[in-house]
Amino acid sequence: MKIPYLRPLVGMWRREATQYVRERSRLVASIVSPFMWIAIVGIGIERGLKPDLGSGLNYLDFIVPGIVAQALMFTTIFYGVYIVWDRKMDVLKAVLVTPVPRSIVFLGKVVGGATQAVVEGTLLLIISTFFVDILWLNVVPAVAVILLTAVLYTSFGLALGSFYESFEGFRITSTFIAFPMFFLSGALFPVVDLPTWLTWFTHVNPLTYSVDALRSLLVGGQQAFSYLTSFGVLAGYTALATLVGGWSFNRMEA
Amino acid sequence: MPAVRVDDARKVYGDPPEGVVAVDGVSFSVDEGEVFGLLGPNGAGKTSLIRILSTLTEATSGRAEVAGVDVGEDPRGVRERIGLVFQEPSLDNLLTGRENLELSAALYDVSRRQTRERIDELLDLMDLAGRGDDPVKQYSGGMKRRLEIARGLLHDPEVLFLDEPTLGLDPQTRERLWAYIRSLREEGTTVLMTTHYMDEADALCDRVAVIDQGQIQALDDPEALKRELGGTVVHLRALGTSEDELAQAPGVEDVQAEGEGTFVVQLAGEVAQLPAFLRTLDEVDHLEVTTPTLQDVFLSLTGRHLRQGEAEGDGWTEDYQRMKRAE
Ligand SMILES: Nc1ncnc2c1ncn2[C@@H]1O[C@H](COP(=O)(O)OP(=O)(O)OP(=O)(O)O)[C@@H](O)[C@H]1O
Ligand SMILES: [Mg+2]
Repeated sequence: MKIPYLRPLVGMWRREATQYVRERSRLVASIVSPFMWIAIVGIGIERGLKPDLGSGLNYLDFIVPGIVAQALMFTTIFYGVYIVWDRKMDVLKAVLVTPVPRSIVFLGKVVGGATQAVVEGTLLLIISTFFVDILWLNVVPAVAVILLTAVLYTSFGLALGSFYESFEGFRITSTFIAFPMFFLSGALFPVVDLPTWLTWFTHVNPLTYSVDALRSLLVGGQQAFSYLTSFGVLAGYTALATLVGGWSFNRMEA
Repeated sequence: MPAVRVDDARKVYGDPPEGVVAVDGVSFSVDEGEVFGLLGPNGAGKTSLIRILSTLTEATSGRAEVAGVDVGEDPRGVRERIGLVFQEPSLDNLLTGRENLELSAALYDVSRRQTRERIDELLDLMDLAGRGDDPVKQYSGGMKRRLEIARGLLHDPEVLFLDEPTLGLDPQTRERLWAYIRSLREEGTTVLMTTHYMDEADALCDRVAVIDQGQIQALDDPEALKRELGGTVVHLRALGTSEDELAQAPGVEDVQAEGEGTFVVQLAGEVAQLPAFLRTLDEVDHLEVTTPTLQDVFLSLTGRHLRQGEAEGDGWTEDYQRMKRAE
């Protein structure tokens, strides 16, 4: 049996993958920033402030999974810039004039972005072993969290990007959205005893659930939410983001 | 069943009061296997019409069918049957030429085996055989254009839209593309192309629609268009005369003042009228008698040259030289 639109999907994925392989700076850039967060902020705070986090974790243990999750979020939200790019370079027109449905065009881009995120995530896990002891036994569910997070934020970034015609506009908006999500996700500090409105934000912030699940999977320690809750919330958000993404690609004019 | 049918199509960009009317009530149909030309100056609405027919934009009103499929009702059905070569470059510069074609083949679900053959064949046709594995960003403007045309032909569409296909091609490739378009017609492919080159429309098209300001000014085969215009066209320079004076002369149908004492005079009938007309002139610096070209047809229909500041020549040569200089 022939799976409909598999060939277009693979074709689009290959295009994204080829670009990724050719532009090696993309990979380097996506590794350097989290490395600095861990090596400079992580070590600096661990040595300088020696925070007591309870649950037997030192600050490096605490920050490494958080930084892995936020790095994935940033890369994948910013992946939305490639739909802005495709439109600007008029490559999008050439795709939209083919019989491939918009939903498949969207899916092709999501799979492309998620692939890059998984490559980045794997490298970050390897780099993490220089700083903390990773619980390799949990690597499969950890990769599942990475994948869900990647698909969620790639979809979100692409949906956002489909509304922009300039790189600048997209970059400003996505940065404006990504930073609060990062700071209020529990990646850098435990999000407890915050004012009500911030607590409210941390609870609707999907990254909170990625960070929480990834932390207990990778280095152990106390969870704020059960795995069931985290996976459930992430899956729900991912479903929502892909629906919104599909819709936003549908209304896009080349 | 016509290959393309357009019925009172209108396209307005933006909202009514200050919106731009790009296509203003256009109707025509193109037969299967016909090469049909849309000839018109910049901003005439040619690309807008192609965007409607290729489902890239919706008409503000009116209907259009391509290969028997309504563009509004079943856009995907239309997209399955058409190929389109855009006016502006739309290639992925990070990929090689071959990879661009492979992507397109995948999007159109051309079988893998066929893809290889077709790509080699088309790279050869477009004189890119040796450069297929180079990144597109290393291509010259003309090479990109050729690759783009190859991409439009790759999946053997029923109806092929070519928006200014020969812009920036060198003379040999242009000739080769013309020959290829003629061979497509032999195979029964319908081609709808836009151009602002008279010689191209003349050489290739079975029928030509002259379009200006979103409206079709005339539609016929190139010979009939020229015949309709009348027998003789006189280009002359005479400082001592005026447009009105010339219009009074015997046998004159139409006069266009070109400035600096230059006029294009259209005489009714064949050369028989010429001696009587010439006797009315006192002093002439320059005189040229021709049979009408599509250029003259256009001029008489719109009172303007196809391209600003171009009185003679086919325009394509100048464009080509300009491109070469820019490279
Ligand atoms: N996306 C758009 N938004 C607003 N106006 C547009 C848009 N596209 C085209 N127009 C306007 O519509 C008119 C027709 O443009 P169109 O591109 O169809 O002309 P054309 O015949 O293809 O010209 P050219 O020979 O320069 O390619 C022009 O006045 C143009 O400014
Ligand atoms: Mg145009």
